[in-house]
Amino acid sequence: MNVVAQWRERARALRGEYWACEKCGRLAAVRRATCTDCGHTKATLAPAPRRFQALYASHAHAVVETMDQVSGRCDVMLAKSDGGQLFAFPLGEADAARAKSLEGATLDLVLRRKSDPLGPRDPIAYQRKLAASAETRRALISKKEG
Amino acid sequence: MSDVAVVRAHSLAPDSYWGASLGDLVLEAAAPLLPLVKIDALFCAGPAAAFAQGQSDFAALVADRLGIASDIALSVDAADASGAAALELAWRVLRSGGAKAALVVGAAKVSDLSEAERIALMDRTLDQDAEISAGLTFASQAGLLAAHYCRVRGKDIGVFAGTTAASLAHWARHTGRPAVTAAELRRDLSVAPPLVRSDFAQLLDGAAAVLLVAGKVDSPWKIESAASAVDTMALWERKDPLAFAAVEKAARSIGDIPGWLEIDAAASVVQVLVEDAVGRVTKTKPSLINVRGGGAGRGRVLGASLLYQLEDIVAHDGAETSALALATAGLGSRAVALKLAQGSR
Repeated sequence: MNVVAQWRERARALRGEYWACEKCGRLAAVRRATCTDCGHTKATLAPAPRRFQALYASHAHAVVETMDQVSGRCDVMLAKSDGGQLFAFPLGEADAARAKSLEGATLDLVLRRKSDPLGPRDPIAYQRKLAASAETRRALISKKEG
Repeated sequence: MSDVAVVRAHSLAPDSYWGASLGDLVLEAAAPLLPLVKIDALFCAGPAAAFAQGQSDFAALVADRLGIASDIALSVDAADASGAAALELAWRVLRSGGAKAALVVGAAKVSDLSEAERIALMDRTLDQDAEISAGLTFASQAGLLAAHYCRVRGKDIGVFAGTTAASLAHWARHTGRPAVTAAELRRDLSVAPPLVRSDFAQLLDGAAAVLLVAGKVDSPWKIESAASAVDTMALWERKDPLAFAAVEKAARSIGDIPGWLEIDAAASVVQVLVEDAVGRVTKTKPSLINVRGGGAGRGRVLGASLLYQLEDIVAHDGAETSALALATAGLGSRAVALKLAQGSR
């Protein structure tokens, strides 16, 4: 884990802020000289959307030679904001098992522990993930049972 | 401006060379080219060396192992398109009169790494601030990109297996091995849904070297033009993640595009999107893609793939007289295009 990078990004990560183009409003995770959409040169920090429509789930458990199919499994979701912009986020651990069934659902942007393996002297790090609300989870369980 | 001719290309078949070091691989690949002409420029691509061997200044290592004391000895880093970028740089230097003969070398020694570390090698081609720190990996992004492609373009997921199967069929014809059908590939282990294991080209050890000279020489193939372009590194922050705008821009800069394409792709979804981007420029379907199977067949040597594909082009004895070789890095954030044309043999 890069502790200095964690420290550098801590405030922005904890607040869930993105760089927003002052002209078209497009959000970017990093500072750029120009907006990738309209080419405008000014951007300011703005809160990221808190809710997204989940589009497709995937993961990356590519450790196949040892047949260790779950190690490092990185569950991710492509999601769309109200403004139609695409974002990809990891899924919260609690929702990873039901990732496919969450496609189409509205998910919340939340702070969760980073899933990097921690050393005994490492600080606990957090990152932005998508998670289903209690209502969404209840609805999925009802649908499965019904 | 001088013509730039391909004197000879030579490579080691991608494999696991447990008993060889990175320097040994370079020597094996380049040794047959060294007596042919006096080399005064050396361009080297070893993007995995710093991570896998802890080796910086790869060009100095290559110059040392090959005994080359050229005026120019540079390492080129463009992630998995490093070899392509090194070829482009060599072409630009030679045609402008900056050197008379250039050796381009690409190599990787990944069998020193664990499987997890090899996967991390591909993650290094992404934007570390915008993607990796956000918990996204190369494979998971490729999976999302494939799903997005199918939904937006109304395609069946079989398009990826079909692309890989076509490459493997070329590889099978070239090597005499049995071909694998698209239906069989669809049953492979899922690694980044909807993509399966065979959708990702295997990373292997290897090295390739290409000798180029300036001026009119008795050589059947020359590099006619080269172009490269970059796009936003973070996939989902691009204007259109499916457009592969860097590929389209590089292809447009090339001029007339031949019907024969050699595409260096880390994953089948990348190849599909590269074909789409080139198709927007040519408006026609290519007549031949990856004559010997490309990376999907032989496996990939990180940073050297376009050198391998150049060797495939010059070794092919078909009727085609020109080919476009394309390499990308980081899920399309960079593209390098090289047009090769055949003169008289």
